[in-house]
Amino acid sequence: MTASRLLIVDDDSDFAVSLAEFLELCDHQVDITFTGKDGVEAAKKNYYDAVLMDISLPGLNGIESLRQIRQANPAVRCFLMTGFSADHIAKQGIEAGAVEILTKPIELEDILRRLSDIRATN
Amino acid sequence: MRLGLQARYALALVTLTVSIVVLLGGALLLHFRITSEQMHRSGSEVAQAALMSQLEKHAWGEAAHLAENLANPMYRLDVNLIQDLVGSAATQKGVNHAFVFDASRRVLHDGSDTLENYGRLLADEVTLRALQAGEVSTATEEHALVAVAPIAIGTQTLGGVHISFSLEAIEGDIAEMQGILAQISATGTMNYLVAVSVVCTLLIVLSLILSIRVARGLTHPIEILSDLTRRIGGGQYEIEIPFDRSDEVGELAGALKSMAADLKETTVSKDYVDNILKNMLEPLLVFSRDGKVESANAAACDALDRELPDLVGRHVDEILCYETALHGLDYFDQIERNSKPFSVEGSLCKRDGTSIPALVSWSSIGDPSGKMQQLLCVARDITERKEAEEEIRKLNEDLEQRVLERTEELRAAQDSLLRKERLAALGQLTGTVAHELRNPLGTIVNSAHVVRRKCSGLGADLKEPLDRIDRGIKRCDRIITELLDFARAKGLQPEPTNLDSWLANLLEEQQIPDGIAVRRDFHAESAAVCFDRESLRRAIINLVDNACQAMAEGNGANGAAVSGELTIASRKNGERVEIEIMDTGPGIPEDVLPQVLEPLFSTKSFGTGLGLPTVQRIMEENDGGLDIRSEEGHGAQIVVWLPLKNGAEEGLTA
Repeated sequence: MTASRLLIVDDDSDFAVSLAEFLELCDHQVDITFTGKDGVEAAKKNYYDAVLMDISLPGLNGIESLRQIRQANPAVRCFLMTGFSADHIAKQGIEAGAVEILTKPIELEDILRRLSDIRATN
Repeated sequence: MRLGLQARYALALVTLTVSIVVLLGGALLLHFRITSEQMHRSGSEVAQAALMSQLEKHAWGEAAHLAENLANPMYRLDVNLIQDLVGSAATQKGVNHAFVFDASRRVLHDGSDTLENYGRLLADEVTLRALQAGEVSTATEEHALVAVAPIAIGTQTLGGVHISFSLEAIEGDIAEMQGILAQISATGTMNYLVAVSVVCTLLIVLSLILSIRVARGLTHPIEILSDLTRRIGGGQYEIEIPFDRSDEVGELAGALKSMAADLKETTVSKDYVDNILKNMLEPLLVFSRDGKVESANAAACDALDRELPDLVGRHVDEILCYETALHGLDYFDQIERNSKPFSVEGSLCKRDGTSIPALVSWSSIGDPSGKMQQLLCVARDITERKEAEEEIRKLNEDLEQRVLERTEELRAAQDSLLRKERLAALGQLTGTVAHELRNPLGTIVNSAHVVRRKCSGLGADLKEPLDRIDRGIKRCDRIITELLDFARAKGLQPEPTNLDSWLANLLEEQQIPDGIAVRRDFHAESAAVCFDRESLRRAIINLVDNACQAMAEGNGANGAAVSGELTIASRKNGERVEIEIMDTGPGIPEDVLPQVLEPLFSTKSFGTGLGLPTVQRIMEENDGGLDIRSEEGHGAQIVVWLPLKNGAEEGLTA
């Protein structure tokens, strides 16, 4: 498995850290920010294969952050994460350029599979 | 016979005039007669006196002449001469006798040859007076005038002459004259009578004409006034007096005119009042104190169906009756006691015996001292009001019924609303809770995976505990999903959909546990319905999951093989399209059937109790509904339905 550079943006630090730890265990390189604004800054500064973004963020929300990141780097693959059932915001997220909307708790095996697909594509 | 004023007046005047004329005429006539008689008598007396005087003078002369002639013969006693002289005197016409007497008043000679009266003593008064006075003296005896003349020579009285003249001739003359006078008098009286009669007649005729004229002059204005009075009586108050007089008739005319003016004033107001009464729509009756009708207006006559003359005099009890036990006169007493108008509901009794409900208002009419004289009654026809009251009563009953029904409906609606509100509040709560739970749950999942990774190869046997964590997490997740489904906000996007193919695709994606046979029985065919696909998908999945779980619990507990048949059917039923999900599980016990749609009710050992309520809510939001038919021991049969919508065929997509 080839390592990917990933960015996790989530204001729930425990969730972000635990997810990062798991992905790092799977040999991915993970950065974490806790706000949308920091996430956008990080995405502009560094290259990431994928961004995992919570939708409900304080200040700049996930979807708006995603748009800004996609403006800076249209190639980046973004996954949106939400505690709500995905349906009602899925459309908005896809329009903003998200690859997929993931419902928390995330199926980790599923995300690993997708990341490897991305890596292969790239 | 009655006589007119004019005739009576004329008659009185004529009578008066005639009386006066007759009296006057009579008096004149009488006066004339008396005067005539007096004249007659005086005439004859004067004539008699004149004749007597003439005779007396003649007698006086004769006696004196004879006495003078005899003086000498007496003195010489010449008897022959005496005889001649006396005889000549005695034989004169109208002489009764002629005597010559001596101084001793003895007759010496009477002129006759026989001397029958010789020696006769003449003792009569005339003789004595003549001798005593020494001059001729006369005296009237019966039918004779006696003249005595003394014969004297010197102072010596020789005797005297005594001659008696017959009065017969004179008396005859007088009688003749009286006859002439009487005749004259009679003729005069007759002429006078005729003249007086003519004058009287003329006066009477004149007075008749005059009196008629005067009477006419007096009575004509009276006739005019009388005519005017009749006209006033007939209602003509504009009168003109065709004369101007300042006498009593003038005053009468003035009084009549002012009376007409007064009458006009009062009569106008009477007309006014009469008009008001006549045009009053409500029956008005006036009763005497003893309860008899005195008068009534046209409306009363109409209402009672009687003519006014028929109505007048009838007793109040024949006309009015009340619902109370009181009679007409009781109310009269009441009015008299209280002297206040009042109203009471009663009925007007018509001639044919039917009656009209009426509001009867009473008031009293008193004399100036306040004593009640009459009673005024206004009876208002309240038939319409009574009918309206009856109508209102019926409507009220109807309304009550409808209010009851509507209240029931409203209560049901309110119940439904309350339920919805409760569900909404519950949804909001569950939504928030679920979302807040998912982040920590995500952390747990991630951390469990980290632990699993880190422990693999360390020899620590943590697989079982980590698996339990995973199962717990999955249950939590399922609960949260259910909660979120239930709490899902509205915002449906209905799309026309071919139900059968949509159902087929849905079932294709769905994982059905092994051992459960799925029977598809789609008969909705071309029926196109319009619904929000996502929400309906969740509903169907929910029902399919429920059915599978029921069958698994029924016979597949404790890891035993699951078996059963899941039937998914679709069909048109009237205005609906139904989807039926039927299992062969244990069914729903009858006692819990009413509760299964209550949120948070669950018979499962785990579960939120939001499954069926969520399905019901989704169906209702899609204008459909949910029916449960279940027989314990024969599985559950859930039917969800959607309305068939016109025009849904357009733009069909599978």
